[in-house]
Amino acid sequence: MKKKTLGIFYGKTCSGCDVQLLDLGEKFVELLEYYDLVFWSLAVDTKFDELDKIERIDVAIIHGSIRTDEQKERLKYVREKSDVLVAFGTCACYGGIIGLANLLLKDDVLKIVYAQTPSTVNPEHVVPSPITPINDVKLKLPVLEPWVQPLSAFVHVEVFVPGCPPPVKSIEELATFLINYAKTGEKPTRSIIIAEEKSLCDVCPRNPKASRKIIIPKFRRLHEVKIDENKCFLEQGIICLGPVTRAGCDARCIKANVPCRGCMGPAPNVIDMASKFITSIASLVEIDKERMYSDEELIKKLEEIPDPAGYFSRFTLPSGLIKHRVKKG
Amino acid sequence: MTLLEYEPKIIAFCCQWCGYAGADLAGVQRLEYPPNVVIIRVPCTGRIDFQAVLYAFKNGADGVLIAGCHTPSDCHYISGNYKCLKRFALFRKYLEQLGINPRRLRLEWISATEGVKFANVVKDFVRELKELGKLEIE
Repeated sequence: MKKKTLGIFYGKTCSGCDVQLLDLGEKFVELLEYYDLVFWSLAVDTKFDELDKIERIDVAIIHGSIRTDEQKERLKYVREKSDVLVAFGTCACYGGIIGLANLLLKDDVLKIVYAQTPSTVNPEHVVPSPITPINDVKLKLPVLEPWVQPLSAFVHVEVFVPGCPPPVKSIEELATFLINYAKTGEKPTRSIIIAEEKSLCDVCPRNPKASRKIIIPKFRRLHEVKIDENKCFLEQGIICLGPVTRAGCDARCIKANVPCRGCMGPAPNVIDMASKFITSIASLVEIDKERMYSDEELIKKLEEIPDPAGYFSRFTLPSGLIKHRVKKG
Repeated sequence: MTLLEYEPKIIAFCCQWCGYAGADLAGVQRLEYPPNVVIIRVPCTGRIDFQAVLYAFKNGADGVLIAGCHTPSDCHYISGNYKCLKRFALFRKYLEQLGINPRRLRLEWISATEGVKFANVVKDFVRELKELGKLEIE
């Protein structure tokens, strides 16, 4: 049997997904019985230019989002060469946590990173420029695009594997899919997401099964309260993104007594996580007791949440309805 | 040739018991108000998914008006208006973070008898939006 080729590529990533791929363990070895690794900076020493010699990459796995012109060009190049493109990890699927940079204009991001953070020492005000001449040699650097974008903003993606990083269960499912693809050559007619078609609350062990109302009297931060390990986070006033987040992570944060932060991306039928979550959580505040307050007092109670965009669309801002800061608002 | 004056587009979500009835009354009373507003009737302001509000902004609305029943106790469904109020408070902040002026979103309590108020609110909102200029979302 002729082996198929597999490449693992990078966008703007922290490379946590790389390490997570190794968590596959023995199944990874099984995968390599069907695939030849042609590109993976972590494991195989291939330079990107050498890919020109390879005719087809059957399966390309990309993790990380797209921020620079180089990443964009590489993505398009890889897409042209590959049969199946896998967006691996939340950054590739939805933009990821680095997508929060979209709340700032590009120039402001550079200013903050290269001048304003307390740990920055940059007396010469060096900022990255596309071409830097050093002794007759011109060094080229990729240029930042205006915004962080997920892969699907540029190309068609066959398989999405969300999660930051994707849970091992998802990766096993991906491996099974890839092995099956290598055997039969069948690929899905439309994009698939390797996760569940439910919201996290549907599978959450803390879901208050009895139909009692969830009431939030006051929002609390994690350190302000002793968390009851069996009670829904929302009931304790701790913001948990479970209602709008896709299930498939096996509630791993919840089981570690930490509220959901929404890394699996929007639940089915949710387009914009933040506005959907605002719709959901705001109505829980002081249910049935609203009349004890004036309108202004209620508004103040809600405004205790200092950063709705950052918290509620922490991983999905670049794929929400409004994907980045509006310049003329 | 003179340039046409900028006319803002407003989407108004009106609850069927108060806001919409108020708009209806404004019509019956033959009150004049600017034609910039497109009214969407909803069962209750508490039923508005704020994804829809953001969707309106994204697809060309310069302002969104939500008209519901007066607090504390006009709501036909007991507390729908309060749900909307709470969402509105948080959503305004979200808009601001996205760089959209929160003044583009208005929540007004307009009862079925307040046709005049509806007309005035629309007039005032149009004036304010003309001040703010066009919302441009790339």
